[in-house]
Amino acid sequence: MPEPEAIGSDVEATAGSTKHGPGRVLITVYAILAIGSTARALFELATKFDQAPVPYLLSTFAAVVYCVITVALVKDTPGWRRVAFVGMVVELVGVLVVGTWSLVHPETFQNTVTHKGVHSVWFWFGLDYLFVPLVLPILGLNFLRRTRRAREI
Amino acid sequence: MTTAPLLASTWPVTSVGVVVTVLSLLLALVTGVLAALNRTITRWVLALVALLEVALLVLTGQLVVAWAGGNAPEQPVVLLAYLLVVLVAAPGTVWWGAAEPGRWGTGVVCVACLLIPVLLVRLQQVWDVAAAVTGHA
Repeated sequence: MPEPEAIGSDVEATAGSTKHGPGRVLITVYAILAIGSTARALFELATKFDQAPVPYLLSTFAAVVYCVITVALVKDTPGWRRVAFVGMVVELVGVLVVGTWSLVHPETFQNTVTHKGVHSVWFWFGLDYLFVPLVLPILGLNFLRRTRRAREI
Repeated sequence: MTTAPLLASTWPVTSVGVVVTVLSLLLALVTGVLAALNRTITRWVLALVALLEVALLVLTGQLVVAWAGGNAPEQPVVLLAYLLVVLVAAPGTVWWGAAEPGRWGTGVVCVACLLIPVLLVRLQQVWDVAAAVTGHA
């Protein structure tokens, strides 16, 4: 068991940290998405990339973004905090653009041979992940904003 | 089943799957309440996690037996990846959450316990993909 480093002082001692407090849960959810999307993207690239290059490359991009954010939150330094912020902005824009595009231009998300629909991580704003990808960057950016303020006080 | 199974892939762990789902959701409820009360991970949580892991190991054992007996999953690599995550999710988050006092450490375990039933559904889908996607080349 890790030592109880901050018992009773989880507000003061961990204020501004990205890996304590709510950050602990945030990292957990990001890590789950990072593992899930990375495994998915590797599988898609390795076994059927030719069948739907665009959706599978978009999955890969999402996977990289989730991995970067997870690492940045765990690293928990001012520099990595900026990386996490940029990563979450990219994530939010990505899920909104890809999600909208998948609704407006479904023909982009098709198997080139069978013309059947093909999903991607951010397809329909993260349908395959119960829309967590749509909510997570909003919660993440809000968390960074609040803890930055806590750090300044 | 009175006749020999025509489909190679039929999910062989229905009842253990239900046990795992119920245990996991119970743990999610317990950790959710503890998190709401701002409590650290308790012995009860550890005991329930141990119980959940036993159920998951039984499930894994039954999958292996079915696999060895010729009832093979359609996508073995994907199945093994999901199985690995399902097995490490609860102990992994207990380790990650134990370092954090208060509600957020307990909340981390809650997240894993909400994830496990979802992963179980995905496991079944991956195992049964031959039944779902006929004519898959």
